[in-house]
Amino acid sequence: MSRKENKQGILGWLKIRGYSIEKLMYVAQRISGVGIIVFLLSHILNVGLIYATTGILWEPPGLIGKSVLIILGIIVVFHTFNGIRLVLAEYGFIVGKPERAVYPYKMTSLSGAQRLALYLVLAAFIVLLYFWIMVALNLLGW
Amino acid sequence: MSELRKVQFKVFRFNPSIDTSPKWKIYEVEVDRGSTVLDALLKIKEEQDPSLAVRYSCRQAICGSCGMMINGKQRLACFTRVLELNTRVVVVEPLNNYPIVRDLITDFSDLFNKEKMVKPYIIRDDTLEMLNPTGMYLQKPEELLEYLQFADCIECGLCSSACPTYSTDSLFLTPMILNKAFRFSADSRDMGLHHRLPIIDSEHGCWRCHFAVACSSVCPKGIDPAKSIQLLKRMIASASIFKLVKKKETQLVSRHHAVESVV
Amino acid sequence: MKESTKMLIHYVTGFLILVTGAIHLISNNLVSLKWIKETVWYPMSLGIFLAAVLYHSMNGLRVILVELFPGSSSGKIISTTLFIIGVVFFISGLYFLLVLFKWW
Repeated sequence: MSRKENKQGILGWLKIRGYSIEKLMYVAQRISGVGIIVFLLSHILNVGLIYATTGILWEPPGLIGKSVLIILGIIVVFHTFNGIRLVLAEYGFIVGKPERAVYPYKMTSLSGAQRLALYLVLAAFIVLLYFWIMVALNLLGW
Repeated sequence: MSELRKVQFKVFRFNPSIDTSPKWKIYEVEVDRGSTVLDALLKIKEEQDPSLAVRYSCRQAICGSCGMMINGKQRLACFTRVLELNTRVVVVEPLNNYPIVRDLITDFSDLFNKEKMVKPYIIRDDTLEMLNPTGMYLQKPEELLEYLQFADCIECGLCSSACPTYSTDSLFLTPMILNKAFRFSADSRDMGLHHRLPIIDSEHGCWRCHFAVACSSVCPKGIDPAKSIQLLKRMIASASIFKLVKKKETQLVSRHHAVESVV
Repeated sequence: MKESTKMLIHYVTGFLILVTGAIHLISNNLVSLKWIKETVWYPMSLGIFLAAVLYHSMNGLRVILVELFPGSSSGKIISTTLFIIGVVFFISGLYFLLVLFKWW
């Protein structure tokens, strides 16, 4: 991309400073999604190939493997909750109704029901994160 | 007269027809409480460097020509007070994701071409009435409210510049255009959604918006483009999948009758 | 297929994943609910999970790649490639499932 075009490329996706928290959630949704896909495809191949060749059913591997699964669990929970919020927003359920733009401007897509849903997502995420860490510590044998 | 304060301006300088790479120039300007970034840039142009290129027109956030990156965020230069930024150095760049014409001036022709594609005007089936108008269409206040907010757009291009999708996908319709498409599709007099669908329901149409809400967080006029795009998606989903199209019925009032009732 | 339909399926499969994925995880990790794995419904739910998760992930990848490489021909190449990858994974995954549950 030439300098004249001034396109930001992927940096434009990742730029968070100056924008609202929704932009951060957008970045997190993308990265977590790609991470889950990497796990998913390797999981299908792994479980299937091991069973088809050796007849042994896949077991969660050792300490490092378990830590990977634990982090994956956190990512999946985030992706799920945020995904529900995004579906509600994208079908126009929580972005508010059209109203007159009166100064000082208040964006209903950045406040109200949508923001509440975002905080609920974060709260649910943190609560589940706590439980998940408990389960994880248990799994790791601490 | 309020006290003057010295502020440094780090300004992006680039002339694509001569320079190979952009350079930064630092100017020092005295500003007061009311000075906007545009005032300061014009002062630089008048007193220090006449070669600085800035586009502006109304100076009061109505024309939408002076959008630029100020301290890394899309803002209107005429709508941003220097001292409210509260930084020692103010960094001024041209808007991201548009081709640079020169210095702080960017080229919007891509946006305006896309705008033509979504047919930003009222489309009706009654061709005879359109060719030989006999009256006017009534619109209730609540029908007006359906699109009024989105009609306030001044086309400054800040939202499209902030849009993360547009930073990689040059074919994406961008918030400004999708907002335009919704403003006309939501109009109670308009019947043209199915004419716009091939463009806005395409691979690079409204579904490439992922609700990062960067557009609404930079919009200087309270349009809330993120909201209009999501409502557009809702409209498309209900029209093209569930076939739930609200039958639009607008009452045509003959001109004579309308004049009489006003008089 | 229209883009709106593709995205609707994306969201519907998202909800399917939520249900079937929860069944998959719970029955694997909670000892008291291990009996779910013995029922006939479990392989079926796993099959639905496989299909839904593959559609959801391949469409998600398509969205990201289409935004990275805009263009009408590149869009077609991306869609076709991902469709083939998805189908290959679905068939192999389904085969593993059938073998796993002794239905093959």
